[in-house]
Amino acid sequence: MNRKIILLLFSMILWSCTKEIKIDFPKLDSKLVVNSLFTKNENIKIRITKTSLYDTLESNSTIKNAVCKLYCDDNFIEELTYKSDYYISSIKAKTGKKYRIEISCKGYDNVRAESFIPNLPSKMKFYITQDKIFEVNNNISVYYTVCNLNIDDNPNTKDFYLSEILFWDKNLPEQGLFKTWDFKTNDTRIISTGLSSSFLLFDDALFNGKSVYLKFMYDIPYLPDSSLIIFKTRIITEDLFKYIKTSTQQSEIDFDDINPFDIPKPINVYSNIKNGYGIFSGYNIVNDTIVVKN
Amino acid sequence: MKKFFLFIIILGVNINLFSQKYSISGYISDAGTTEKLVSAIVKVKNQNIVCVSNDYGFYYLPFDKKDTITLLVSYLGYETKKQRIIINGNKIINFKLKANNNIDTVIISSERRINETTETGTNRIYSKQLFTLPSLGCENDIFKAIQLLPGIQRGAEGSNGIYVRGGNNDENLILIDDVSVYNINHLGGFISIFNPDAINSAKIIKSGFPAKYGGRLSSVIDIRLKDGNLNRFSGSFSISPITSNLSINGPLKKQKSSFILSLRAFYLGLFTVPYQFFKFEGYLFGYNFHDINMKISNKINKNNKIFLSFYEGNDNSFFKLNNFLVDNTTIGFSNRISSNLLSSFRWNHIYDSKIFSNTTIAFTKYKYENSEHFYSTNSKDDFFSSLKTGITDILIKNNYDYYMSQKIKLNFGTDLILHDFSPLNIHQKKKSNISDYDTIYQNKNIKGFSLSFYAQSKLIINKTITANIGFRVNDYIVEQKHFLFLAPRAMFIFQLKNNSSIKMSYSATQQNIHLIQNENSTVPMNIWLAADTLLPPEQAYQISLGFYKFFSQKNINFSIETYYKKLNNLVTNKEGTTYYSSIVNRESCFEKNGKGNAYGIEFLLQKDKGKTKFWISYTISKSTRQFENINFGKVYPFEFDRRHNINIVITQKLKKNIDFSANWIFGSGYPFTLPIAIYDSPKNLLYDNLIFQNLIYSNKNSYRMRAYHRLDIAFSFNKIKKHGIRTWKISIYNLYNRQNPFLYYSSKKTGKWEIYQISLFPFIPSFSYSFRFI
Repeated sequence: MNRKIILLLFSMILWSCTKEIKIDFPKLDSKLVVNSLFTKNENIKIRITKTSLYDTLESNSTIKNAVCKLYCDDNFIEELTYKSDYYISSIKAKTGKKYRIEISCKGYDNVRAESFIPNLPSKMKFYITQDKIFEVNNNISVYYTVCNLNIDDNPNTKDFYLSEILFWDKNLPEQGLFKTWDFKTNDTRIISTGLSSSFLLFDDALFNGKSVYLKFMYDIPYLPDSSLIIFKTRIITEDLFKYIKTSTQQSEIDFDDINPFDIPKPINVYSNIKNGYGIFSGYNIVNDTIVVKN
Repeated sequence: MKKFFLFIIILGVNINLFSQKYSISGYISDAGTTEKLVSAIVKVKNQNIVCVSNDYGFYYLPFDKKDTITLLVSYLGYETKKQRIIINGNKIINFKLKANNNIDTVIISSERRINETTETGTNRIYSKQLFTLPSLGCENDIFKAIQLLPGIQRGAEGSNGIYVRGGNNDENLILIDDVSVYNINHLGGFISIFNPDAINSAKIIKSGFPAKYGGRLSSVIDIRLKDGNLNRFSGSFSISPITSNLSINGPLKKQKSSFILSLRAFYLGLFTVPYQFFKFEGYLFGYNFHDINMKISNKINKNNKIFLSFYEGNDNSFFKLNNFLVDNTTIGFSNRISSNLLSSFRWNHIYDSKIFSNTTIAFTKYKYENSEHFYSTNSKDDFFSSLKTGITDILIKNNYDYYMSQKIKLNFGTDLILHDFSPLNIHQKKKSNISDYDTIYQNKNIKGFSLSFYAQSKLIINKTITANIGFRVNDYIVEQKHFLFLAPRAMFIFQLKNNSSIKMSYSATQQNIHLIQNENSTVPMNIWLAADTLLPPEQAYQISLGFYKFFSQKNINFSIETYYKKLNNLVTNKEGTTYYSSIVNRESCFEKNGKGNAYGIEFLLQKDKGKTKFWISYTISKSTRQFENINFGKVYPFEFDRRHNINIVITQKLKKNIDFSANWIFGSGYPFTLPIAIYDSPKNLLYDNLIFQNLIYSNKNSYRMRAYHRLDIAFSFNKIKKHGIRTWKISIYNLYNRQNPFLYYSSKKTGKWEIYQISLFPFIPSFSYSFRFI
């Protein structure tokens, strides 16, 4: 009997003291969400949605009755027309111009944002320097390719870069382009400012105006001869840099598999939309293609 | 630096001008246990001449002329001793005070009438009271008692977190007999490493820091261990559901040298192992800890005493695997060890009766190690990994009390500390049929050297004004870079009529080390980093003002104290990072150059004599932080900012042999950040049309958890037996079963986002048995 009492006591202390309680959410008004990335010689396409309460299950369809005005260098250009989930401009965006949008919609605060298309660096070249380096990642063996990215960075401007690698498998042409999901780098010029994920995100804080070779690795899919490796680097705005960085950090928190004893510090996603959420930004792009020869 | 030495020499010359011809000095101790009594009051009857024994029980009273006086020596819970003395030279008189009642208890106390002390924000806790306060699992813990003091927040439920006046957990200088200790936790923070049987007293300083203390921003917790009985052997043992304690002490040579040995062990794991063996076939996990305290004291002659102290504590958790689930052939183990090792040599010396010195040479080490080794019995597969972190200090301290006159006392000295930081060392090795690897990741070990000089003078300016003015200079050298910091310290007391006083203080502090810690983690791993150019030393500046009154008829102390604290160069994890990510990626996971502000008002009503003793404290406070890249640069509430905090502690002697105690704790909710809305965003705007949901969080820490409150009670049944006193203690934690918030988190368990609260520790009864040999 005494033993049962002791066991009961131990059980109470160790195993019966955790309890979960559901908490009610605060109710807040919805705000407009604006998402648009544009580049040179393309129409500006804007998707407008709204925020939803955190505990909702409702699907979030686009808002169709907004008034979306486009300005270029502070001059009114046009009111964008709604077509297939997007508000689309009739003009094509150009570098060296500043674009502003002002959006109003009944029931929501008016929102506005502005951006531009950044200039390309004078030189950007991608090199594969070593093939098939063995590494261990989370106890899984992975083969990597070692690469260099040579950039002649623009002097006197703060530049932001976003790089990715796409593949085209000659034996599986119907698959189209697919991309690497695993970049690795110890290059402090990259990791001190940005992050590596399924892409490389970095700025020129440590090499402003200089010619540099940035070293990184990506995991290798098997590709037959005459397949393509396409290296894309986007020159992005500071707003887009902050947006991608914070949204990536937020999305890397897996709430379904969270350890309640090591909860990450929450992070809000950056937005340049005044009175709203989302991102409105221009970007520029450089492609570099290598044909596979095994 | 040369100018500083010159200043000290000039000061010393001037000091001699004040020297007086006649004096009484000596030690004050407990007549029964022979333990030194710290902050005992020595007063000349019918004269305004008074002094207080120092941290080593030493007192000194100078006189201008020959006289015949009556000396009153008193200490809370002891009979006042009266002695007639002829003053005709420098006399050494040691006083031995008798305790009022050996089984009586003393509630948390200011050591003297609260209006008379020359300190602000200072409280003292005595070991006796720990044994009567209610506690979780009947574990008597000095840190649980400290958490009941005004101005101190508890952190997560059940833990030993100490957040003093809006400061962080790593900002407390915790000293055992003058030596700092880095990890105070067992069992993931639910029990502290301090064995109550080994503790004599603890002093907690929240503001007006004396110049001799430095190295942390927010508080000093100065714990003094027992020396052991010089006359006879005594001891105690106790058994609770979680631990067992054994303590013995006695003379090695009567009246000359003594020892104390205290042992504590956790044995709950012994009971759970058989249970697991049958319940979870194939694997086994367990946990144990122990503490060993040892101290030897030796009185060489009337002017010299030496002390040797040793502490070793160890947490060990393990997991053993035998033919486990995966392929039925994998076996192995994982092991986590967290340990403290501390040893010190102290020498107390009296120069010409008016200079008391304490020299400490010590070594303190904290180490954490996590190792795993799993292998297959029928293949080449073999995996080994280990993670190590730690810090080692070697320190030399010299402290002098110079009793210059009845009106001037000088305290000065030096501290030299050599820090050896080993932030992180990871070794992974794997053999398999596919591949082998052997990698080592290591943060470089860093050595930091801290050199401090300090001097402080207590000046009795007139009958109503006393000042404590001093400074501390610290030069911290790391990687050939100097961080020089001048820390002024000042305290003034204005005596008013009717046992009242006003006190004010100012202090500046610097912290040369940073802690990476997860308060909520069950893993007892702390990583201490050296401050350097990347993460420079943290600094704090605090002013405090208070009104104090003693109601002599009711024997009640009352105080109201307000403070403002400013913190600079704070460090924290970046948003979006976890505790573990910050361990391995230091450069990119910290926010630095943070600022903090904390202010509040603390009320205290305290009765520490009589059958009913109580302590009621109320604190209203606010603490904020600001970092450039957190919360968009806006000010936000500190994680442990608690607006209202109430602690009520009562002990009542129900019968001669039965004590009752209760504490009720209330705290308004801690702040936290809540996801409040979601919005669709193409997951990757540039590459595809997948829709992803971004979360919108509230401003950082803009929501509050539910309020925390609970009532704990305890009964102690004492009985005097042939060889000592037997005590049965019954304690109930959380009497009305309040489900207090431990933490909140969000999850999509039911398909939509929801917030959950985790609560720990419902109604938990426990009991313990103890026996004290007398």
